[in-house]
Amino acid sequence: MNPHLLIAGWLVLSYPLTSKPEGPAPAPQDQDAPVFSTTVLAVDGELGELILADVDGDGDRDLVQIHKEGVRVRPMDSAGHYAEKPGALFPWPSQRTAWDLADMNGDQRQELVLFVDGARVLQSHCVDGVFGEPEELLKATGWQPLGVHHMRFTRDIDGDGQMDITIPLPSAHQLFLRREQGFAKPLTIKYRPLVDQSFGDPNLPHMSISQTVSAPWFGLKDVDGDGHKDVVSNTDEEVAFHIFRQGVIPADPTWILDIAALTRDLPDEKDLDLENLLAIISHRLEWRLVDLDGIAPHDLIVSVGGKIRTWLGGSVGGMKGDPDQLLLAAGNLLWFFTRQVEGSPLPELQIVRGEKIGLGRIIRYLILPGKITFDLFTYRNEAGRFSERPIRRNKIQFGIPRLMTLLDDDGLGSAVEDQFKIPARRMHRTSGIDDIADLAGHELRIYGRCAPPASNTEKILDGTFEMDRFIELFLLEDLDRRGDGANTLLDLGSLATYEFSPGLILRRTAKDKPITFRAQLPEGKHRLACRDLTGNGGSDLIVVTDAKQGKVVSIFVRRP
Amino acid sequence: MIALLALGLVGMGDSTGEVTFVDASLAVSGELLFWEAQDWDRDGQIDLLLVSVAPSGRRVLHVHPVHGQTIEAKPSHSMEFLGDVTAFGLAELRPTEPGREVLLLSPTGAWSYSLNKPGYRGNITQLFKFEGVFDLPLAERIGWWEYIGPAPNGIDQFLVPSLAGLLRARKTSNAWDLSATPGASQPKRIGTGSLPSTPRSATGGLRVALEVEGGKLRHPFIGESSQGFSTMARDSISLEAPAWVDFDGDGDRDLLYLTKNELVIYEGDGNGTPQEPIRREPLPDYMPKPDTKGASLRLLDINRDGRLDFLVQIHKSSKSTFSNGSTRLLVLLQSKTRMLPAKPNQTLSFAATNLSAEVAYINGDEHLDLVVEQFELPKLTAMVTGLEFTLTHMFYAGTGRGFEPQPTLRQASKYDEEEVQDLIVNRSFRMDLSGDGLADMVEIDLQGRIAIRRLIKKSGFFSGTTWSLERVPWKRFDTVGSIQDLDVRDLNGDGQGDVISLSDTGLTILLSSKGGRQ
Repeated sequence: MNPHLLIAGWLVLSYPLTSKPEGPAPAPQDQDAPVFSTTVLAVDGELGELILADVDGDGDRDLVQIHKEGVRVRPMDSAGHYAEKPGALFPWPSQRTAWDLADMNGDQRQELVLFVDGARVLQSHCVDGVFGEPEELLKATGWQPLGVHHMRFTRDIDGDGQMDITIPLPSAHQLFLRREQGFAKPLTIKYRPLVDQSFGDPNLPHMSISQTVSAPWFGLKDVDGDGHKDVVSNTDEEVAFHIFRQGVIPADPTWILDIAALTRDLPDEKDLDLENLLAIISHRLEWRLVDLDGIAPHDLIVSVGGKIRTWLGGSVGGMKGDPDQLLLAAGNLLWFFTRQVEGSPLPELQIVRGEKIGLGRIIRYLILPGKITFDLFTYRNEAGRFSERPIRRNKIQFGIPRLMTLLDDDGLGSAVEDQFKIPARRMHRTSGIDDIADLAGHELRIYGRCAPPASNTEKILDGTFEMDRFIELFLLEDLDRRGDGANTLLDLGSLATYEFSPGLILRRTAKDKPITFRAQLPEGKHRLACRDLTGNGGSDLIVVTDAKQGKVVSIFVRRP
Repeated sequence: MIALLALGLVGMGDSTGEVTFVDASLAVSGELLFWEAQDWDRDGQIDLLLVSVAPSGRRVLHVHPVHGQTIEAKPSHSMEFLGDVTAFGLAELRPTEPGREVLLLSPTGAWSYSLNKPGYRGNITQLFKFEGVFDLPLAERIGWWEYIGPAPNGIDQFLVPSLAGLLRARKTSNAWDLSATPGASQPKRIGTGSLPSTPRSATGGLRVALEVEGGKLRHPFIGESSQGFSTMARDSISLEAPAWVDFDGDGDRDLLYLTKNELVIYEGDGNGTPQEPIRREPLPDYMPKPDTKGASLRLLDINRDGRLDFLVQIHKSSKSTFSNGSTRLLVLLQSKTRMLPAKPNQTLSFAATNLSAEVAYINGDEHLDLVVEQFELPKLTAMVTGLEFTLTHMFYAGTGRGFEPQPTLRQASKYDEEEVQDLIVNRSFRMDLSGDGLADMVEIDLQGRIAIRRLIKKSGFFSGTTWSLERVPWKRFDTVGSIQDLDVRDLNGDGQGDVISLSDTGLTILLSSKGGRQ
C-alpha cells in the first residue's frame, strides 16, 4: 500500500452474499430472495472521495477514488465485485486542476476531463482500470481557483448527444459546443457570480479575511416547445434566452426579459409595509413560458405588481408590442399557475390572492392560534385568452397553531424532521412490485415485493424539487376534484400527525411483511441509498456507516 | 457623478437656536458603494471619499472636502478604478508628494496611484507582485483595505492577503520587501466537489487538503454533499488576521493574536515587528475562545492609561426560542505586567434576547461611558394579558477604572404587538449633537425619517440628579436617510456630531452648525 495515500483502512471484503450472510435466513422457498455481491470498504478520512461511474464501458458503475495526489479506479467485475486493489494512480497534471467525468466520445465510457491552469482542457481514457496519458481537447482561458476541484463543466448543451464544454469567466460562461471537426467558437452567456468577501479590521483580534465565490450554472430548457433545449441564463437584472434554431444555439440572446426595467417602479424590498407583509411577495416578478393557444411556439405570461400580461408566441419574441391580454388583480397577487383544471387541452390560469396580514397579527400568532386565508381563482382558457371573470372560486386556509410551539426544538419541527430521518427506501425491481430496504439497528433488511405505489412526497423527492408541482400535488389537485366553492383547511398544528415522509410510509408498509434479506452492518450511524449500479433499471444498495474507526462503505450489487 | 448640494437649514428649530443642521447630502448617478471620512491630504480637514459605480459601469472614487458647514459638491479629486482592482486604501507611499496615495490591490500585485495627478499615465506604480486572496475583481464591489501603518522611514508599511498567508510589505532602500507577517497562519481553502486544496507545499509540490469535519471526511460520495447542481464551481479561502494596533501604548503598532489558548503579542519597537512574540499569556477561564458563538470582543483604552483594554460581550441564548437569554459584559484592563487580568475587573449581567453595547463619551466628563441597549421579550406568565416587548436604554458612567455598577440612565419603553414596528429603528447614542456637552440619540426609522432625542440632566436640591432621554424628539428632519446605515461623526471639526446615512443613491449628511442660525 502506498503510504502517501494514507489509506489506512481499506478493507476490501469482496464476497458473493447469498441471502444468509448473518442473522436469520430468508425462507428458502422464496424465489424473490435477493442475492448480492457485496464489497465492504473501511475508508480512512484521508482517502479522498468516491464517485460511481462507468469508466470502462461495460455498463457497470466503477468506483473512482479521488485522492489528493490523483485518481485511482476499482472497476466492477462481471460478478458485481469491486477490485480488491485499485489501479495505478493518475496524477493531477497541475496544482490548478478542475476535473469532471463525462462520456466525451459517445462510447458509453466516462472519460476523466480536466481543465488545467485556466488554459487547457484535457481528457484521459481509462484502460484496464487506469486513466492514461491525457490528450488535449481544447485551449480555453477561464477563471479557475487554485487547487484541485470537481467542477461540472461538461454538459450536452445543444442536445446532439455529444458533451460540450463550459468554461467560466468571472461574470460569463463560455460555451464550447462540440462539432465533428472539434469545438466551435464559444458562445458567451452572462451570469452573476455569488461572491462574499471580508476585508477584516485591524482594530479587532481574530478577524477573518476571506473570499467565497460560487459560479452558478445556467438553465437548459425547451422554452419554445420545439423539442430542443434552449439556453436560459439568469442574472438579477435580466433573463437571456438563446433559442435553438436550425441546429444552432445563437451567440446573442434571441430575446431578453428585462427584470430591472419591469421592476423599476415597484416598491423596493427595503420598503416593507408592516401593515401588509404579503405585499412584498405581490410585487415580485414571475414569468412562465407555456402553450396557451395550442399554436407553436409557446407563449409568455408575465406577472408583476398585480398585473398579468400574456404575449402569444412570446417564447421566441419576448414582450414585443402590446400584450395579447392584460388582467388586473386586486389585493395581494401572490402566485399564479397555468394548469389543466377543467379537462380541456389548454391550461387554465389560476391565481392565488392573499389577505392583508400586518406585523402585529403575526406577533399575536406567537401566543394565540389563528387562520390565514388565500383565495384561489381559476380563469377559463378560451383559445389563448382567459375569461374576464373566474369560473371557480376556492379558498385555501392555513390553521396556525401558537407559533411558539413551533419555535422550540422539541416542537412540531422536530416531529416532522424525525419522519424524514427514517431510512426506509424503495428498491426498484426490473419488473413487478418493488422491494423495501430498511435498517433496524445495525441490520440491513429487505422486504420483498411489498412497496406501495409512490406517495406524493416520494414523487416530489424523487428528482428535481419543483414548488409548483409540490403545491399542485398537496393542495390543488384536491380542489380540482371538488370544484367551484370548495375550501381546503390545512392545519399546520397537526402536521406531525400526517404521514408524509417516504421513509415512514415505506416502513409502515413493510411492517409484518417477511424479510427476504438480512445483512449485518458495522456498528455506527448508517445512511442508506438505493442506486442503479449495473444499468439494468433495478436498485442496488449503498450503506455508509460512520463507525468508530472511520467511515465504512458497504455496496450491495444485486445479481440477476 | 452628478453631485447635488442641497443647502438649507433643515432642522425644525426649537427655541434655543444654538445648533442647527445643514443638509449637505451628496447624490450620485449610478450606485453608491462605499464612503469613508479621512484627511487624505493632511490639511487638517476631513475629506469624504465616495466610491460609486458610474452609469458607464466603472467604479469611481470622488473626494469631497468638508469646509465648515459646506461640503464641496464638485469633487476636488477623482479617479477611476481599473477593472482588476479588488481593494484600496490610503497610504503614505511617496513622501515627496503632498498627501497620501491610493494603495491599490489586484489579484496579482500592489500598486500606488497619486490623486494629485490626473489619469494613470506616469502615475501608476507597481510596488510588488503577489498572488492575492481576492482573485475575482467585481464591477460592482471594492474592498477598503485598512492594514496600513507607519514605518520608521516615513513610507507606510502594510499587510497584504496572499495565497501564502498574510504578508508584510516594507520599503527598503530601493525595493519593497515582502515577508511573512510574524505569527500569521496558512490560509484555509474549501472548494467545489469537496476536494479543496491548500496552495503549495513548502517544497513547491502539489498539496491538496480534503474537506473534513472534525477530522473525518464529511461525504464519501461526490454528489451526496449539500451543494446542488445549480452551482458549477465554488471556492472559498480565508486567512485569520491579527489586530494591528498600538496595544501597549508605546506609539508603535503591535500584532495581537487571540488563539484558542493564549493571547500573543509581537510588539513593535519603532524598527518593525520582531519575528518572535514578545509576550504570551494563557487565556483565563473566564475568557471565551475566539470562535465561541455569541461572543465578541473589542479593544479600547477604557481607563485612558494609553494601553488598550478589552470589552468582552458574551451572549448565551435561552434553550427556549421565545425567551430571553443572558448577556455578560466583561471589562478587562491591561496593566503593566498583565495583558489580561486574573479576574475580570468588572462584570455586568443582563437578561435580554438582544443587547448592544458601545463605549462613548456620554455625560460630558473625561471618562468613557458604557452605553447599553437591551431588548427583552415578554415573560411567559405575562403573555396571558398580551405581548409586551421592552426596549431599555442605559448608560453606565465611566469611573476611570471601568464603569459605575449601576446605570446612570435607565429608560425603558414598552411596545405591544401593534406598536412593534416602532421598535424597528436604527439608533446611535454616542456623540453630542445639541451642543450641551451630553451625547444625544439619533434615530432613523423604516421610512428613513431622522430624529434626534437629547439626553436631559436635571439636578435638584431634594431630588438629586436625574437623567432621561427626551420622549419627544428635539429635532426631526425633512431629509431622509436609510434605516440600513447610520453613522454619527464630527465631519466638520466643530465638536458636534454630524449625521451620515448611506443609501444606493447617495449619502445623506446633516452637518451641525453651532452658534445660531445662519
